[in-house]
Order: sequence, then C-alpha cells, then structure tokens
Amino acid sequence: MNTLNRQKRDQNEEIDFSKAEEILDAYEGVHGALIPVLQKIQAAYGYLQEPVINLVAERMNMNASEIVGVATFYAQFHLQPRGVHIIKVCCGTACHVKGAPKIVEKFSAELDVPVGSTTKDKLFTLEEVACLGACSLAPVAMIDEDVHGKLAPDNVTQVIQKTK
Amino acid sequence: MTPCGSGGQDALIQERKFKMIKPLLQGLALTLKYFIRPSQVVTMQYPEERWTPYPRFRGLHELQRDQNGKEKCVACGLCSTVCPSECIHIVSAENAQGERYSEVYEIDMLRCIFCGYCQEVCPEDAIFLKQEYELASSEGTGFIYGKERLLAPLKKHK
Amino acid sequence: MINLIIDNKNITVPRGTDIFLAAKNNGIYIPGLCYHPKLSQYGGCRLCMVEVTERGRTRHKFSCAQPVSEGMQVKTKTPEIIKYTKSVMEYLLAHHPLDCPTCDKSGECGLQDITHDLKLSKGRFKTVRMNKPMRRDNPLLEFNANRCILCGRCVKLCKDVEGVGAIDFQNRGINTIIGTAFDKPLDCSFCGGCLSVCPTGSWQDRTFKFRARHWELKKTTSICPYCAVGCTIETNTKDNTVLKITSNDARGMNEGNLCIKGRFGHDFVHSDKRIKTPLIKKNGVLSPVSWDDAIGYVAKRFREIKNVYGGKAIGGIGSEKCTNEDNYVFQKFCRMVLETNNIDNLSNMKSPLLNTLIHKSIVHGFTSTTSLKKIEKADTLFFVGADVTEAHPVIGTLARKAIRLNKADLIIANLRNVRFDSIAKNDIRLIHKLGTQAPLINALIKTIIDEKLVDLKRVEKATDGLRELKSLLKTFTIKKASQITGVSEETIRKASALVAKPGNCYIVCGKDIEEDPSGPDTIKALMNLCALINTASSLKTDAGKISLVFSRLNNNSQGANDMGVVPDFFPGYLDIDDQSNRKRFEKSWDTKLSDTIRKGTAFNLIDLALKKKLKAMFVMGENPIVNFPNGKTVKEAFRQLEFIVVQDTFLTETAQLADVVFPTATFAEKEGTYTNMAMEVQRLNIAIPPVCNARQDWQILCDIAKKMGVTLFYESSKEILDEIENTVPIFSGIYYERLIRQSFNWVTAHKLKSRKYKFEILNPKSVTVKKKRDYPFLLLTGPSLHHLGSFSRNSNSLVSVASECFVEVNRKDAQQMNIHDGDEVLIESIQDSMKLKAKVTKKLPENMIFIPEDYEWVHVNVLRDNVYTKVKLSKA
Repeated sequence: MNTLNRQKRDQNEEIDFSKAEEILDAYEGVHGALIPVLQKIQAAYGYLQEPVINLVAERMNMNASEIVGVATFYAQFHLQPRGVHIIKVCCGTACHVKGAPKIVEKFSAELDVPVGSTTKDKLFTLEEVACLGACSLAPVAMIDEDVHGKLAPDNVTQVIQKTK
Repeated sequence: MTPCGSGGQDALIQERKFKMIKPLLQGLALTLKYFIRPSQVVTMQYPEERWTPYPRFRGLHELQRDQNGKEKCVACGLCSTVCPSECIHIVSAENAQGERYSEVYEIDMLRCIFCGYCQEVCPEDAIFLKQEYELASSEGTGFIYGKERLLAPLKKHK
Repeated sequence: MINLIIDNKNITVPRGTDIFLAAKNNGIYIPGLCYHPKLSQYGGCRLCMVEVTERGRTRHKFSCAQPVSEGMQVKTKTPEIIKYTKSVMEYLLAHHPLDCPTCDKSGECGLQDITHDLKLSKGRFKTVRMNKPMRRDNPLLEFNANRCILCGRCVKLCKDVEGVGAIDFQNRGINTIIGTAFDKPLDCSFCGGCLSVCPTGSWQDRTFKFRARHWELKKTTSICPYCAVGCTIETNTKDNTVLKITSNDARGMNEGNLCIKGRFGHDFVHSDKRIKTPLIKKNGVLSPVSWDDAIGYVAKRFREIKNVYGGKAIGGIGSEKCTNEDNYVFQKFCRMVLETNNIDNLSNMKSPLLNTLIHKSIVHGFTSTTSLKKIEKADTLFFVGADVTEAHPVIGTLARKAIRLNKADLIIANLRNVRFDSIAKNDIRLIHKLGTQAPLINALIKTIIDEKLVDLKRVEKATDGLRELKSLLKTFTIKKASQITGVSEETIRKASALVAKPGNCYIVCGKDIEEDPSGPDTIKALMNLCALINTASSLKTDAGKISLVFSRLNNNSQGANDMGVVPDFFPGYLDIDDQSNRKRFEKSWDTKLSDTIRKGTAFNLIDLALKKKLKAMFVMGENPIVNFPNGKTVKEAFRQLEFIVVQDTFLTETAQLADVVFPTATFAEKEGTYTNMAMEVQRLNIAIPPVCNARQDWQILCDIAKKMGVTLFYESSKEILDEIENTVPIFSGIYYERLIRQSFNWVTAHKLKSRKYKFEILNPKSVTVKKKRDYPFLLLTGPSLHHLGSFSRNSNSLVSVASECFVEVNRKDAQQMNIHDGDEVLIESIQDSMKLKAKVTKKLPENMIFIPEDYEWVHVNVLRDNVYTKVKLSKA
C-alpha cells in the first residue's frame, strides 16, 4: 500500500499542469463552462487525474466534489487511465441472446482484467456497452473504430492478436 | 344527591340487612365443611411448595441475548415510551463498534404493573416477562432493578 | 396574487409560489421529501404528485415544481394519486434499512411519517439491503448511505446556503451516492446544515449519537451564545442535560441555518473544567469556599478599598457575553454601590469611538435595518473589512440567499483575499493595501460624484457640505486612488457603479475597520457614501436605500454598550455629565450618585491600572489577559492591582490571577436578553437548572450589594428588564413577554430625530506603516470560524475539529523561506515570540502573516502592541 502511495505521489509530481492552465485560462470568468473544460482536459491528458481536477476546482472556484460528481455522471469522462485500444463489447438484447456474456467473459479472461478497467500494459480497456446498432452481426464488439461481428468465444484471441 | 334518612329508605335498608343473612350462613357452612375435613387443603404451603406459573404468566422481565451472547436491546426507548406506569429508565449510548446499546436499563419494580406492553412493543424481541414472581422484599430499598438483575445470564447461550 | 382551489378550498397565494408551498401554507398536506422551502426545487423524490385541472384539462403534476396559475384546481388525494404515492414509497423503502430502533432520526423522520400516513406495511418488492459502508471520517458528522434516499437536500444546502459544495452526487444510476471527491474525508465548514435538512437519518450528529430519542427531548428556544449575529437556536435537553442544539426554520433571522459553533459548540455547558464553587485565593492558590464566605469577603474588601482610596480606585469590566440584564445590573452596581465610573467593556476599549459613530449613523438613518434578515433582500452587498465566512457565517448564508434569489452583486473590500463562496455574477474583490481603507471609500465617493451616478442636485438640497467634499476630492483622482490603494481603476469604477445602482445595498463594516487606527475615518467615509446615495434616492420608495451594519464580535457586544457599561454613557447612550440624565437615574435607582460618576480621562482601564490609579478590578465574564491587544501590558496592569474579582464559567487566564472567582451560569441556565449587531434584542430562556452551583451574574452582584448594605434586589430578569424599560428611553416599549414571539429593535422602535446630514470632510490619507528592517512581516489577526472565547475552547467538539492554532503565510514568502504546510515556524515580535504551525495560503498579501486570535489558549495578543505589529518569521 505504501509503495502504491509513493508511486502515486511520484506520478503527481510528473504531471505537467501547463496544458490544463492553458485550457482554464481560455475559460476564465465564463460561467457554466465545466463540461467543455473537462472535455478539453480529458482530450489533453487522456483521463481526469486527481491533481488536475483539484486544479480545475481551485481555478473555477468550485469544490472538487462537484466536479467529480459531474465527471462520474457522464460516461464520457474517465477518472482512471485508459488503454491504447478500447474494446467495447455489445451487451444489447440481440447480442445478449446470441451469447454476449460469454464473449465478455472470454475477453476478460484473455486480457486478465475485469470489465471496466485497463490492462497492466495500458494497451486495452475492456468495456460493456448497451448497443452498437449492429444487431445483425450479433454478438458484436468494437475495438477502437473497427467492428468485429459474429464473434464466438473461440475467435476472441484472434481478434485481440490482430489489434496488437 | 338527595339527603338520605327519609322513612321509606330506612325500611328498604332494614329489608336488605335481612337478605344478607342467608348467604352469610351459607358461606360459613362451607368454611365449617373444610374445617371439619382438614385433609383437603386448598392453599399452597408456600416456602416448601412452589407454584408453577402458566406459560403465559407475566413475571419478572428478562433482557435477552442473541446467539453470540450479545444483548439484544438496542435502547430504542419504545418500552419506556409505551410503559403506562413510566417505570422503565434507559440511558442509551454508543458502544465501541458504533452500535447503539443501553448503558443503563432500569425498571422500578414498585411501579411496574406487569402489563407486558414493553414485551409487546419491543422491535428486537429483547425483553420478555418471564416466570419469576418472587419479587417481594422485607426492605424498602433495592426495587429498582438494573441490568445486572434483568439481563439473561450468559451461560444459557453457550 | 393568484386564486386557486386545492382540495375544494379557495386559496390565494403570491404569483410564482409552487403548489406544494401553497398547500402547505394553507394547511393541506402533500407528502414530499426532497422539497425544502429554503432550497431550490429539485423534484427528486417523486412523492408530491397532485392532480391539476387547468383550462379544462386534467393532468398529473409534481406539486413542488409546478407554479400556481389562476383558476387552477388541484386535488391531492384522488385514489390514483394515493396509489402512485404508495408505490413510490414502496420503491424508496425497498432499499431502506429498517433500523428505526437504532436511528436517531426516528420520531422526526420524513420517511417514517409518510410511511405511517399512507398506512404502508409490507411492500410488494423483495427488499435488498445495500450494506454500503458508513462514512465516519470526521468527529462531528456521520453519513449512512444505506438510509439515503438521494433527495439532494444536503447537496443543495451545502452549495446554495453554505456556499461550500463539499458533497455532491457521485456516480450514476443505482450506484449514486452522496459523497466527496475521490472519497476524501469531509472537508467543510461543518455547519451541520445537512443534518438539519436530511429527511431521513442518513446524516447523523456524532456528538449526540444515541443519547436520547426525539420524543424525549425538551426543546427550549434560545439565542446562540457565540457571535453577534444572534441566531435563534433550540436547546434540546433530557434529564437536565443539554444534548444537542437544533434550529427551527420558522424562528429567528437565521432561518434554521447555524454555523459549527452554534450547532456543535454546546458541550462546554457540561464540561468538567467548569468552576464548581466560588474560589478564594489563599497563599497563592485558589481554593473552594462557600457562596456566603466568598460574597462576604468580596463585600468586606470592596468596602475597605472604597473607604481608603475612594470608589474611583475600583475598575469594572463588563461582559460582551453576558445578558443585557447582567450588564445593566453591573453598571448599576459599580455606579451605585462601588461609586466608581471606571467601567468599560472590551469592545469599547478596543475601539472607543465606535459607539458615537454608530449612534450618528443611526440618527441619520443609515443603520435602519429592522433585522439582519433584511440582508437577504439586498441587491448589492458590500463587505468592508469583514471576514464574514469566518466571523459571522450566518450573515454569509443570508448574503448567499440574496445572491441566489435577488441576483445580488457582491463587493468585498479587504486587505486579505478573504474566502466567500457564492454564485454572484458580479463578485468584485477590492484587495487594497494596508491602511488604505479610507482612501478606497473616498475613491468610490469620488467616482460616484464624477460620473454622476446619483442625482447630485437632490443630494445638495438634502445635505450640507457637498461642495466642500467636492473641492476636497478635486485633486484626488481615480488614478491616484488606484496607486494608493493598489486596486485597479476599472475595479473601483465597477464597484462604485454597483454601490450606486438602485435597490437595497447593505454595507457590513467589519472588525478590520473598527479596530484599525484609521477606523473612525473609514467609518466617516462610509457614512458620506451612505448619505450620498440615500439622499439622492427618492425617499417615497425604498429603492436606493443603503444601510450600514456594524459587525460586533460577541453575542452581546452591542448590548454591553447599550447597557452603559462604558465610562461616557448611562444606559441607552445618555450622556453621563448631563444633569437631567443623572437625575433620571438617581430617581429610578432611588439613590444619590457620587460626584465621581462623571466622564473620566481618556485613559482606558488598563492604562489606569498601569498608572496605579486602580486598586481593585471587578471582571464579569471576560478574559482581557488574552482578548485585549498587547497582552504583556495587560498582564502587567493586572499585577499592579491589589484585589481582583472575576465572575466566569471557566478558570480563564484572568480568573487565575483573581483573588476571588465566582462561578456563573451559561446560556442554557440563564434567562435574559442578548442584543445582536443589528440592535435586535432577543430573549433566551432557561433550558436546565444551574450546573454545579453556578449562579446568574446579576444575582451575584445583588448578593454582594446586599452584603455591602445597599438594596439592589431583583426577583428575576424580567424585573430588571422592566426597570430598563421604565428608565432608559430607547428601551421603552420592550416587554419581556412580547420578546418570546418577537425581537425588539431599539432603532426601529424609536425613530430618532434626524438632522440634515453634514458631510464629514476628510483628507483621504492612508495610514503609513513604517517598516522595520529586523521585523519584515506584519502581523494580522482576525476571527476564526471554529473558536470564540472560552466557551469554544472548552467544547470538545469544536476543539476536535480545530485543535491547533496556525499561522497563515503567503505562498511566495513561504517558497522563499522554504516553509511548507504544517511546518513549525517561529514568530518573533519586539514583545514576545511563539511557535505555530504554518499554513501556506494565497489569501494573504506578501510580507504579512495572519494568526486567528480566537484560539484562546494561544495568546496571540502577547505578540501584538497597540498598533500594527511587526514580526519576523523563521523556520523553527
């Protein structure tokens, strides 16, 4: 636990706040600009880190609780680091019927991560989504922008390898 | 009220006096019957002989413990609120685990009328009126029973 | 006004009212858990559904979010609605733990009440217990997420009323929880507002935890014993023990809002450290004696001193914390029995001209607020030298209400960038240089005159001396003002425009102004500003009215001055040298006042004691050793005295020096009246009998008088107030019984004769502070949210939150000296030195440090001399 904390602190020291400051300067004195600010910061840093959120709170004269409240409400904001590739496995009705839970299970086992988190090598983030709108291809998964349809637990490994 | 002492009423009273003679004699006859046949004793020879209360008899209260021996009472105060003779005194407090318990639980036995409302209201089934009825004392003090007297003994649950 | 029918009842309510409130105010019950009149609507609990028929169409609406309209017909109890409400409740209860027996909210729980009203029993749903962990990360508040129904009241209160926003909804959907960012410990002002608005038992008071059931508590309406706002509180007692303080939204100017001191700082009442019996110093040690012995001894010694040196040799310090009645009897005792006029109170000793200035401001109608509650109607708020968040938090809540509902603008002029969180659109900070308050106000006046923001012709007609003022300010350009004060020209212009804009403006003049050497000048400048704007507005309407509120430190600082515990005035600011006033009191007190009862020298009591002009001192409920600047001198002065009597609840530093100490009752054991900073006289009531042998202050005084052979006898506080009512003109019409329902404001009760205002012609000079090479830093002291006086110091709850005093250091200075948060630093002044933990902040200007002065166990005053104190700082 101690080493983890130290790691965290080391990370904090490395954070370059200049990008965040720049974004915040642009929105100086604008009321109700939290969401665009967070979007830009996420675009710049990949995810919303605690020290950056604290900076936003200080600069926008808000409490960090409110900011995290907004960030955790919208699915588009992430408080955890994200992988290079995002795997979205569809768990909509059609995919569910066609065995999506097994696909998710397989992905999870193959990457050795629970759903909603990132692999240790920061390469993949595994997510469940409601519907990708490709029910004809069910069960379907999306890796970054590529749609992989008619998946079976057996070809999951292949799909991952292809992306790598 | 009308003042009594009018002639008519006096006569009525006289009549009633005689009416009670007959039942009186009947009663005395019964007494005489048992007096003559002393072998059939109906009173209990108390210290040697003890009465077994009925299952639903309401005697001395007992504070219950759960399977682990912990007191069930959470000092919610409903018993002291519902008590018609206001004889239950509770001081509630927080224990080391952050749970509510009764620091003091006292029943004033001189005031208690054994109505059993406390048992009925208890949401935790923590108090029962048990079979013990020998609560008399020759001293005037010590009738406020605390937890040491009311709490079920620990060994029962082991 | 809008007419509508709710449940066949004709109702008339103002436009904009929602159906929920309209029904509630007319005695029709609609269930609802998320709605709270002092918060904005949220519509989260879905319980307040009603059937609305409007223009021939019948629909179901949520009554808390639907404003009334003309001719609306509302039904609250149709079978459909009852069915709907019942099923909503079933959903809420599906996750709600049935732990009412152990929940402190039980008995006053909204959820419980509605369940009972709707006669709900076992629901249709399978109940799932969430078993979320308890939040127990601070000593005062506890959050049980399992009981939470996510009504959002606490979130809104924290943001809207308290301005903090420490908690918010985290996550979404079924995982939603009220919490802080990254699950960090709760870091807020601990006002306990969440506690007061929570409809279930989610938020719990840890200091109260399980000690009584709601229905066992006796509630006594009283007044908070801490700051000068005078919030109405309810003292909850059981078995003669104060268990908690709650607030009632319907009573008092605070609308149910309190601060940490008011809500949690009550446990000093049952502190072990209270003085239990009277004490007499024997061989240098204070030892317990009986009341009779102590009173007899004091009477004997006072008689001796009076006979040998005359009454003048006895000084008296009245109390800013005791009631008006105590203070009235105190000054009567000193003047009549001890025959001395050397009496004073600490606030008057700190700023001797303030009383006169306040009186002047009242005469000209600048201080005409009937109640502090009026602040919530403000259109502009101007805090001058006032750290509202720290000193008077509840004024902050009133101000935020004005900002939220009236879109009020905010201007804060201060040396430091004081914290005030709000959603004000115009939040102007005039952070000025040291000692330039008066020029700053003059700069505002100058801008208003130059830019003709008010009708100057009208001002000229109604006042004297506008021309002189103009000519004086001729050379004082905005540019120059900007240079002197360090505030940009644009900001000055903006601020002037906001002050002069139509609508109500409230100026809160703070301690930093009142206790500053340039304070009188600044206050005079503020009065000029008020006159300029008030006389320019048409008086028919209330628009353009600007009001000055003088902030005071303690709960009864105003009252101590009103009651004449000052050398210059009899009670009610009646000149002491005036023969008719003298006659008035001689008649009322049935005595002949000694010739020594007249205005004294310009020296205060401490100076007199130092000059050995005083032989004895009578201190009632004060701790001047710690609370008066220049602590070393004060201590020295007290050492010069032969005989010291102290009446106090705790053995304070002053009491430790005393020869006799009397234990006195606290607010919970007392009755009487307190006067708050808006001159509202409010009544407090006895909640419990005196703890540990204590007596009320006035009773002790009467007992001593009796022993000294003078009749000074009262049956109760009511009798004292009756005497005040009969004798003191400004208090005529104050009745003890009436005070139960309504406070009394002596300013509005007596329209004082208004004269034509004459502008004070002041040179806009700034106070220059000479720098000393060895002592490069300037010491600022100020109020603290968590502490005030010896009460908070002996409250375990408050000490557990704020246990250590600190010194605030500017971030740049700290960087230069390599000081980090929490480092111990050594502060040295010419007088003394002390070590404190550093707190690095951006609030301060460079080369200044700030120490809160109300951590009574840290004697900051030993560092201070009478004016600005120069100190040096080093890492310890």
